[in-house]
Amino acid sequence: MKLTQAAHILGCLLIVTLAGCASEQESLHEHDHHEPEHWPESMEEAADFIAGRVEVLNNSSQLEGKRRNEVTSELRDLVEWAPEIAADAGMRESDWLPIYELSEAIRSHMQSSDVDPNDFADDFNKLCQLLRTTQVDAANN
Amino acid sequence: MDLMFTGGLIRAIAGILAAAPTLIVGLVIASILRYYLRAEGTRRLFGGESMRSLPQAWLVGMLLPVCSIGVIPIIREMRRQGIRPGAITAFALSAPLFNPLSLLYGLTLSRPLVIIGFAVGSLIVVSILGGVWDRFARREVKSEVAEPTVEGVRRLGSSVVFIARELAGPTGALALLAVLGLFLLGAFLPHGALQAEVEQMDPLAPLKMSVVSLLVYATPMLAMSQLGMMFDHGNSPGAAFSLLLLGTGVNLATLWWIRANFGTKSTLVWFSVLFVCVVGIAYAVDRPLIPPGIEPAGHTHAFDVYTNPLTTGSGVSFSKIQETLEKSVGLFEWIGGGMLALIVIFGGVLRFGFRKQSEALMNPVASENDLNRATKGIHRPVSSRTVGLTCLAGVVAFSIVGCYAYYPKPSEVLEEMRLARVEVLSGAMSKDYDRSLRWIPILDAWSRRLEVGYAIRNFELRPYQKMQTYIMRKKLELLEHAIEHASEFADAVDSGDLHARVHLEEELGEIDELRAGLGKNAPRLRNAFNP
Repeated sequence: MKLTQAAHILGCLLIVTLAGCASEQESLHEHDHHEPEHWPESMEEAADFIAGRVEVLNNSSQLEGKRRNEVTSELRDLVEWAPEIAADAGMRESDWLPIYELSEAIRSHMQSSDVDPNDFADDFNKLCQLLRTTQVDAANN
Repeated sequence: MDLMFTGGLIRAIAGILAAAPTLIVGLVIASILRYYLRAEGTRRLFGGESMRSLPQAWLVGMLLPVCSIGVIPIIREMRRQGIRPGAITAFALSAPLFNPLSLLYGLTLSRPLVIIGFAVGSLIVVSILGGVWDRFARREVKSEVAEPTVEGVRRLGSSVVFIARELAGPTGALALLAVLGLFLLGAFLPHGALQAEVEQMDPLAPLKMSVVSLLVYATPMLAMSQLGMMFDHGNSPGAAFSLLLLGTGVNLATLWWIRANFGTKSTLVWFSVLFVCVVGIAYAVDRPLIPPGIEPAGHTHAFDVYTNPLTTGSGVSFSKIQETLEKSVGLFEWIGGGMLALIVIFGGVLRFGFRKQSEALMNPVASENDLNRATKGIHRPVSSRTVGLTCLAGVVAFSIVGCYAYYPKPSEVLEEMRLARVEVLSGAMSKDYDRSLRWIPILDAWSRRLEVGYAIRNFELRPYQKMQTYIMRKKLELLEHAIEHASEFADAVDSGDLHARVHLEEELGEIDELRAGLGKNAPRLRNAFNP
């Protein structure tokens, strides 16, 4: 078989494969943005969620590996979401920045090794405190 | 079948209109290489036969504002002037990827390191590819056509004739071939078919995107916006890299032209090396470049622009085509398309009505009168190379100046956003959902231009600013989904499904919440960008 003929056939197969494998999106619900269950509705709730999971990991001697991983993953998510929750609550930039910087610092620690809450206990506590006590600027709302 | 053909046609027309501005720029650059830089100057511009020709061609490509269709007349001229094949393909691949406008846009979309990493990745690819391919591809013998020697207005006239004839000839034909890929994708891929194909944890995502990208034509700006959407939705970074290199850098016309000039065997070698390099790098960067803090959304709308714009059940009519095109094509593209049409008509008249005369005009030879005129009065001889390099520098400078025009200062953008936001929110409130859906992408696009406009004037973009624009775009997307769901449920209620009423009420509640959220976000954005 000549090279050009083979190339043509391959091209046709490619198109047919693309067409055959693809299907029309039947409903707009197929690709909803599903909010995770541990998404906090407020800064206060974010602080509670973080503190709760840190406590669970602290008392984790009996915690199974799979559950421990789940809690760790949720904790990581909450730390990453904290700046977004705070910004959406109307916090001023000058007040928001410490939350963002602390969140980034905790996140990079958590990425580099297994999380042991004792290592970052102070950081988690500080983050929770910032989330609970920083005032939202009325002018920003 | 009507639906498929019409969908493909809409995508192809939109593709041609999107390419129009940079195709015109590409033709102008080709004429500068031909009539001003000429063979010697062009060889020096692209590094000659030296080791630096590949990175140099890559760098020149990064500076010039052309797409993978706009690059066609330039590589045709490079080939005619005997530039080495590796340098031609290095330029052909890199020029469509980035230009000052799209690079600035890209730096606001993701971590700057990612965009810079993609740029370096493209340099690695073109260097490997160029080095391998120089060994396989045959070199062009220098053209026997005499190099044009006139200067002044006559040379300018020759450039105009060249541009028109080229567009109404080989370049125009190749441009149509390039958008054939868009036609095929739009015809054969049903609406929304690519929304869930590039997920972060899908090991096949980079490979799937690499295959689809072969048929894609995308302008640098479109590619950057798609990259941004992919990062926002936590899609596969490797798939994003594949889209950038293969979707933006290459199209069917490029492949056809390479085969026609260098033969099937060397083209297969070229393409195989390119594909293996791109897919290899895509998989290498797929995990390390996952953006932190972004929850994978499970889908993306970035590639809806390549699938059929019409859904099953949509009517097929001229007005439907017009309506769909108006949603996706901006004023700038319509103007470019109009200019392109005029040039094609002019070129057609020259090619078929005044063939010999126009060929003579394209290849003029200087007379004694020309030489005398060149030194009379205030005229002084300036080398063609100087004029040519000045023209090219002017193109680059113009594109940089164009950045400041395309990305206005924050106060202007915030006012545009205010107007767009009013349309979105009032449409949502009054249940005029078509109006909201029309203005949501406009508001989204303005938010990107707000970031770039601020960054190029202040040389910074603070995390708080990025967060507020991110929150706004997230709420816009959720609003878009909620409106679409509400419309779906409303139709279900109208056709007698009583269960849908509960869901409809939920969506209406969600819409109200998001309206309020967007309203609260507005003053925060204003304070962040224009305190």
